Amino acid sequence: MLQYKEYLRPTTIEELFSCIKAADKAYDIVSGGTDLYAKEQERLSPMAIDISRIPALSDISLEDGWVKIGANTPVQQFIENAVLVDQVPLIRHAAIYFADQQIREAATIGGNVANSSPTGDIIPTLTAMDAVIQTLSMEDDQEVRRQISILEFIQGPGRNVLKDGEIVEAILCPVLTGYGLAFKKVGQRRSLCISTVNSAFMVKADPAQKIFEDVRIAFGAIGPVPQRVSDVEKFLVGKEISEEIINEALNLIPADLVKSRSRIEYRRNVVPNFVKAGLMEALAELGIAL
Amino acid sequence: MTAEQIRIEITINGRKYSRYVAPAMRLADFLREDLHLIGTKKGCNAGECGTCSVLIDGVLKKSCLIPIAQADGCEVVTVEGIGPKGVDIIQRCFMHAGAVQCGYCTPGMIMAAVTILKENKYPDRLEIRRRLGGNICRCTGYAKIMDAIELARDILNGDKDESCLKTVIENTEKTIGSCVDRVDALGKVTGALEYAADMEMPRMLHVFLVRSKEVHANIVSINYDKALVMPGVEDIVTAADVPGEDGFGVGYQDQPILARGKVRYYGEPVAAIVAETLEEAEEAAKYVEITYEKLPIVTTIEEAMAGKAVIHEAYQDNLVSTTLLDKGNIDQAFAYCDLILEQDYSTQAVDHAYLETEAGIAYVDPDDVLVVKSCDQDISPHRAFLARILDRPINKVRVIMTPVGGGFGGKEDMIYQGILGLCAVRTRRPVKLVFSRKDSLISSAKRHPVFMHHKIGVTKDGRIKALELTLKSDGGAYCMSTIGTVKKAAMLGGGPYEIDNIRVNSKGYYTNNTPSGAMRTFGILQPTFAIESTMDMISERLGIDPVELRMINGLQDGSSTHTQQILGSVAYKETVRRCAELSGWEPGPSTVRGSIRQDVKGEGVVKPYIPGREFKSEAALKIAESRFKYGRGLGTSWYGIARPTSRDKASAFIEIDDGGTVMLLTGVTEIGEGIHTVLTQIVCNELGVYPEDVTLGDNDTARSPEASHAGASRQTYMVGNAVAVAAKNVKAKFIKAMAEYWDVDATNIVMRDRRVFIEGSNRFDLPLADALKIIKHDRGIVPVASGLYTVHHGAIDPVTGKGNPWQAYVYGSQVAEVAVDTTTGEVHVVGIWASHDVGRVISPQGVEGQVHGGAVMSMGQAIMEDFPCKDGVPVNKDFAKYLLPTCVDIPAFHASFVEDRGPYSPLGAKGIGEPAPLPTVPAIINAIYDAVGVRITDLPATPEKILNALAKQSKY
Ligand SMILES: Cc1cc2nc3c(=O)[nH]c(=O)nc-3n(C[C@H](O)[C@H](O)[C@H](O)COP(=O)(O)OP(=O)(O)OC[C@H]3O[C@@H](n4cnc5c(N)ncnc54)[C@H](O)[C@@H]3O)c2cc1C
Ligand code: FES
Ligand code: FES
Repeated sequence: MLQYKEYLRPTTIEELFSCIKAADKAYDIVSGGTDLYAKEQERLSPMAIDISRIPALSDISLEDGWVKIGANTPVQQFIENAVLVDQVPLIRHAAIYFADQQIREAATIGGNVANSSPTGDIIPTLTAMDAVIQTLSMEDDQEVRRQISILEFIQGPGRNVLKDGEIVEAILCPVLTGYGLAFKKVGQRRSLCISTVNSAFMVKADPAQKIFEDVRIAFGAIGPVPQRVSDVEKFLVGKEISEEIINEALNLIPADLVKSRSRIEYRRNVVPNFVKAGLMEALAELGIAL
Repeated sequence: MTAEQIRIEITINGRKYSRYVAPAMRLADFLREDLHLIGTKKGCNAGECGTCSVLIDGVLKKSCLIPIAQADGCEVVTVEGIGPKGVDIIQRCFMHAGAVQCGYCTPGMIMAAVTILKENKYPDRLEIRRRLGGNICRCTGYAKIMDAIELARDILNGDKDESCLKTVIENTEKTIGSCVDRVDALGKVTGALEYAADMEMPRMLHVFLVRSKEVHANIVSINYDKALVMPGVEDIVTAADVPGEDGFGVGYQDQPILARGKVRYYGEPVAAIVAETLEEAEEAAKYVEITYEKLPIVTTIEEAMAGKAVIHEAYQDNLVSTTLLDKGNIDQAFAYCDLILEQDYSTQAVDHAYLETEAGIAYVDPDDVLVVKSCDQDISPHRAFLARILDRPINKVRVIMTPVGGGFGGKEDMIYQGILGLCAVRTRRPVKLVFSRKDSLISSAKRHPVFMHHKIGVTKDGRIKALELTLKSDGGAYCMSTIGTVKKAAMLGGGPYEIDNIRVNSKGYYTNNTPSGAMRTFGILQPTFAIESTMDMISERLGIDPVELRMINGLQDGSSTHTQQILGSVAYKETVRRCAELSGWEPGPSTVRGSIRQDVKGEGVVKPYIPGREFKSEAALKIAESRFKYGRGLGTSWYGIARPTSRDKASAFIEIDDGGTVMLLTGVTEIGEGIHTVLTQIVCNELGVYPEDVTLGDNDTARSPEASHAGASRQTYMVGNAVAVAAKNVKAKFIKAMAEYWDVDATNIVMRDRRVFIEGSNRFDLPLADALKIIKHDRGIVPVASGLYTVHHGAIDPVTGKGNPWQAYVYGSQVAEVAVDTTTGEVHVVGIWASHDVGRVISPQGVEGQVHGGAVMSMGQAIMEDFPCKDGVPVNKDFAKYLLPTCVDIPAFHASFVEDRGPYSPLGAKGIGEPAPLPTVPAIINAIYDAVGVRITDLPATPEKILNALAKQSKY
């Protein structure tokens, strides 16, 4: 019932940082509010700084093979916005598994990243793409930006490298073309569902569709931070595409990939199933049927 | 830009508002509290249920998660703004298609429907399903909601004519059995109906409960001096303030309204803070200091039996109750069995999860009558409890049932009404208490976790010769309904079979877990799951088709039940037969034959829900689908109608009123099941009026005669028959008066289609309204009557359990088809075929709705819902963790009803509310086994249990 005692609504970056500078108590940055407003009051700060009205944080632009996605971009946009569907199609695969459409209309990508929950569904896609988180802060009245890879950005459950007074400004995703894509997620039901395991897959084949040219596999929800399964990726690259080789690769999944202590046996059972399913489906998207 | 209050400009339903608001306020609260637009509900306050869905600048969002500051400058449309001319086509389709039960989800569903049809003129069923994925409905099982949206789509596109929304009743004598629109649907589809949480009164105070964070502890002291002087605080109440004899409960009255001396479960209310605003009450709660002395926590039945701690002084052995049954001689019988199976089963606690949380208001009226209005499923005994607890004459307490947004038994046990009453009496001001979703989850009663053991003996030909059944129910911290569920489980838990030798030992225990209480099926869902699973194992072991196995053992006319009652007409086997036929069941034993059976993946199932189907490539989808393994399972059941082993009774008053209308007063409890519609139909049939001519009185102890609770699937049977009797009585009076007036023989007079007449006569034929005028003004008679219906259910013997606990039984069978995802262990239930004996179908949509909703609720229990306590502390305290089936999880339904009329029921009707969910759990569990060979004996069948078992299978 009780909510923020104080609630600020800056409309420009300058205003935002003057709010932050003037803040005399702990505050939460509010974007879509879907994480914060679903929490219990005790877990909220006394003050809110709402960034949803800052247009600059909603920009989407294309530059030098990178898409810059403003932090305030709602998750639903990855399903509806033609530029995003075109340039970062992998996120659409994850977005469709995300909450329900009503939540997706409010929930933002910046919120998902900043919240840094192990179960965040957008995070494995960013991990697979080697996305970069662009942060913004104000030091001595100068805008300071940092570009941090997603794996570096997330430090643990709900923990990341954001410093006090620093926000996520945008997510930078490389435009990767010619990949077959898949996203696999399991929870306890199929709508409004927290992931027990989620994972993103990208596969690229040579022009003859015979050889793995690039393979990217990222998992979330099985440990404090997202992880790439590089042993499997490295093994497959350069190999001829076949079901046997995928089966063989499954043996290379590190025994300690699953770090969560709860439901560990289950998660360990799901991981190889997902690796296989994800790769097969991604290949199928390329027109390669095994 | 800053804090405190800000001014916002917002357009709501086309009207501009300019208001000062606290910017952090949720849009849902602004709509409800500042504008009293109460059609927007708050079922969870966390984005998980969709009861608060509204359109913001044309986009559907959950208003409980939207800070009002973000809606500044926006255009908002709520359910009140739908349909410029009052009621929109979509709303009418909801009413017509039976898409409304308790109505609590309805405004949000309507908003979702509006959005779907606004964005796509031709959505298919899959798209509708997907788009409803964020709106929970606990009652309907979603099928009729999707039907309603499809109907609206077709009408809006001109594919169907609007005229199809008219109710067609051939003549009033056929109202029973016709599809009539729900009589209480209008207020639900428009959002105008006020549930308790929507009600406000001048000078109203708000109650916040300080709940225990301890599980089992003595209360050493409560100090609230500091809290009492906080701003806005009017009063603080603890057990010490209870004037009368404290204690309530359906069984033992062992529960104080506020913890007395000790707390016995996590979340038990200890003190009530009454303040001008809820915020002030909540703030003051922080200053209440309670010191506890911890006691050992009894977390399991084993610990209860071992006496780890005594929970109630009066029950030193932690035993709530025992019911025994002993028929024949099982020890002898086991000796000549060809196969003896022993098996353990357990079930989890689940929550009713009605979308309307507990809520009520109370005040003392000018005549010093304490009025308690709440969503209460059982007002008469609660009035008696309140009178005793508050030390008032019983007629100085008036209990009124507000519209109930889902009950399922959970609002049958009194929980908070005592607190409300006490606060109102002390403050002499209206008080209001609304549970948050967390309050509701941690402190309302749960379905009992039950531990069951079977020892069953059969002969080679499949005959069950002996069954020994042990049932241990975890009653939690207070008795509530445990005595009743323990007993009912003993009487019915052996299943719908004729077994010559059966011994049952059913016990309930106190633990420090969240109390267990009444929940739809009242103790029978659990043993039904067990016995029907055992039947499936027998089928496999003996190589006998499960349908055949039911035919061999099933109850039939003249059978002797487990309580040695000799039955009359029994439709059990007919339900099995029909269900097999309806589903196209391929005969064969339960030997994991899912992969080779021909009856799966047919026309009558939905595809497993795969997100992104719309953009994934065919090839990828094919791969995804190749991982499903299909299977089918059968579950069957029986149930006794109305309160067992006692005199159950219900009554009604009726008046034929001015204009030829009818006023009916009963204490009937409409909790969404549609009983108001059923009673209306009964009246129409008898008195020749139309549904819109009938006015129903409230469920109010000061106004209506006692009809008792909504439970035991008794309302159509008990109250329906009482109303039928009342209608007959008033009709007899009316006709007698008309006969005198016309000077004709009364037996020839008919009342039908709003007329009173003698068949074939022009002279003796009047509109009912005119006839009424004559009777009133000319004859000086007010046509009123009452009706009473009583059943004489026999007690059972304390040692053998012998007796006739019910006069009417119903039977039901369901086949479930599942697709198990072998990569994740997820279960998709893709089809349910149900056949139920209901006695007589009064409202076809009503019984179908009960089957859909009941089956989906059981699907939740079978595969996802779980309310575990860790050291007594509930783990799943919100809807993000306590998971309910959504629209994308549900199967296709097919139902067929058997009408074996109850011989002692003047109407012939029996019941369906609780019987509906009974066969579903074992049907699903048996189907999972059929698909992948994993036998789940402890519910729920989570992906985790299934996949881990599959992984082990492949290892060996
Ligand atoms: C019903 C429901 C279902 C959900 N289902 C899913 C799901 O399926 N998958 C999933 O991944 N998540 C899910 N979530 C969680 C949530 O919606 C996401 O994490 C979402 O992306 C958060 O975005 P937001 O804009 O709403 O965040 P907010 O609630 O506004 O913020 C979240 C956190 O991030 C911080 N923050 C936000 N933006 C910034 C920024 N630009 N810079 C710095 N800090 C920032 C906030 O301070 C806060 O700590 C669900 C939530 C709900 C209520
Ligand atoms: S109240 Fe908003 S989603 Fe439940
Ligand atoms: S009608 Fe949907 S929740 Fe009751």
